[in-house]
Amino acid sequence: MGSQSRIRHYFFSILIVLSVAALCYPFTDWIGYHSVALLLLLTVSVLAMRFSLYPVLVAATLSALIWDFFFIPPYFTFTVGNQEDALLLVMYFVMALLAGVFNYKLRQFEHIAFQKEERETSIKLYNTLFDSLSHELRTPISTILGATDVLQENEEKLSKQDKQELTSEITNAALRLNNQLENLLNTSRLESGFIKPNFEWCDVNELIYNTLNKLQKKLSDHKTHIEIADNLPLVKSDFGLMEQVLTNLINNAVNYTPEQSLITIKAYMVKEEGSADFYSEKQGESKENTKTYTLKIEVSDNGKGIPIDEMGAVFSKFYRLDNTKTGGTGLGLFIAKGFVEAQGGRIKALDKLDNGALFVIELPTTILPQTIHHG
Amino acid sequence: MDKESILIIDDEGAIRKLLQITLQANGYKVLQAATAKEGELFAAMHQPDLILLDLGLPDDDGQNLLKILRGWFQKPIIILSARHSETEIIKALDSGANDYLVKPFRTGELMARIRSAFRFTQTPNIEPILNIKNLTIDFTARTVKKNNEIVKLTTTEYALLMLLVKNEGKVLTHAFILREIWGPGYIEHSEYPRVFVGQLRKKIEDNPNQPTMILTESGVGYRFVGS
Repeated sequence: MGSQSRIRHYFFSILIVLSVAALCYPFTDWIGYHSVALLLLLTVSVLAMRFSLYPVLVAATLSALIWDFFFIPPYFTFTVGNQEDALLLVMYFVMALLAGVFNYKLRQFEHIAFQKEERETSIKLYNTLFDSLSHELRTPISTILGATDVLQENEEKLSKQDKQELTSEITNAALRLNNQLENLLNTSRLESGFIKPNFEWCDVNELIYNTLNKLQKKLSDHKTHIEIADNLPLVKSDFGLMEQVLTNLINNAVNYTPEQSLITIKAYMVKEEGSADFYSEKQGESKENTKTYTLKIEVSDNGKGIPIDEMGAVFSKFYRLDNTKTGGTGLGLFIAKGFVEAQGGRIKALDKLDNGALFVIELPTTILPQTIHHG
Repeated sequence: MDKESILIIDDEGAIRKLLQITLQANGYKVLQAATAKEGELFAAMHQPDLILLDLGLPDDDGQNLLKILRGWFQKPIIILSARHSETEIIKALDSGANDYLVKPFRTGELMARIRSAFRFTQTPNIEPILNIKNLTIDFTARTVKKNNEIVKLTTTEYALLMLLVKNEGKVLTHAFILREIWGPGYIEHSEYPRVFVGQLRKKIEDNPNQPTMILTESGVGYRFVGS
């Protein structure tokens, strides 16, 4: 605690006790000085809930003295008139001190308990992290080390094809490492609140196809079906973030389905109020109306889907579906969710009626009036 | 022809070694610098034909060095960056870098970028008629043909295509395209490049969704690839 805030604690403790005493003073005859003692005791207890130990003890002592001096007859002396009042004063003093000390200790215990609990959850989290991470990182590292050892030690014995296979294993391992690093960096970016979306006009067609073209190799054993609504207007979003979101969703769809499965990507725009869609909107209509559109992008597959009881958890960090063999750190969907939410959107996992997983991205956006001057 | 010389400015010994082997294997002469200070000095002393500049240098920000170099160095500068940030890349391109590669990059990609950067500097005069894939551009008649059929382009689309073609292989940022085609007054209209690139792709690409000529550089801009 800084010395300044400590001084503030003392200041406020004294101020509050003085104010309560001053407030009670005019009413002493009416409420009786015993009630004043109770009120002061209450004040000290309340102070103890907020402030640290010593300011509270000061407040307790001060209030006892004030009570004695101003409220116990004979007034304006520290002398106490009768035995009963003397006993009361001593009791008051002890109780005020105890209230202060107990409250303070109680808070301390709560704090410790809270810290302990927090530490336990984070330990649990880190254990999960280390389990999946060490596996995810060590596997490619062992591949690289193993392959280089073989290449260096058996220079003559290896056939040309063997060498090529080994080097391409190294390549794949390095790419995998790089991918995991990207995931970890993105996760820490999300957690540090470092993501500032760079909203620019995006062509949804360009976004989806650019992502797919980059994933061509990965998608070579899967079938894709793309349905993008005609004449989709440009939307305001962060191209790079959206690309990462789509990449993660499509990667998941590929990783969790057998070869030759179908991955479907749909994109369309809905107007929030329902009735008319944007196509019928005439140009030049009121501009205030523009934020009512939502871009929806769906990524679905026809694999086994997500069990209903796990639906809510799939976006949690390090979460992996039970009994999945495929590698992964469980960060892909966590990042997807974070990136969509950073842009003011939402992402949901839904139950697809005819099996398979369905993810829906909803991104509220402004759209341009459809006119751009040609020529 | 003399071997072209390339100056590598990168503080990572392993990367310099790798680049040196790759570049020498491809017939380039290699110079190396490990710091910004050394890089600036070598660039002035040896007058290399191209500079590979890493942005994360120990003694100075690579962006700074880029600006200093661009004060007098006219030949291509290709940025190597470990940072994946689009703003960083756009900043470097706007300060005059010809191209950028994000680490880890593949050597094949690097060689392609280097060749394209050299091609760009070696052909300042564009032929009156240019053939790119199945496109034929006639600069004097201001016509564009695709598979020998005239493609009808608006004035803006034509201007945009010319800008892309003249900067073949180079990444053009959205802001640069806006400034060049529509002028500085239109800098707010960031939607224009997207819309017109979309239209142009529909007219000149075989499959506008899998463009082979006007490529998208995510969050940065566009690159025209002619070969």
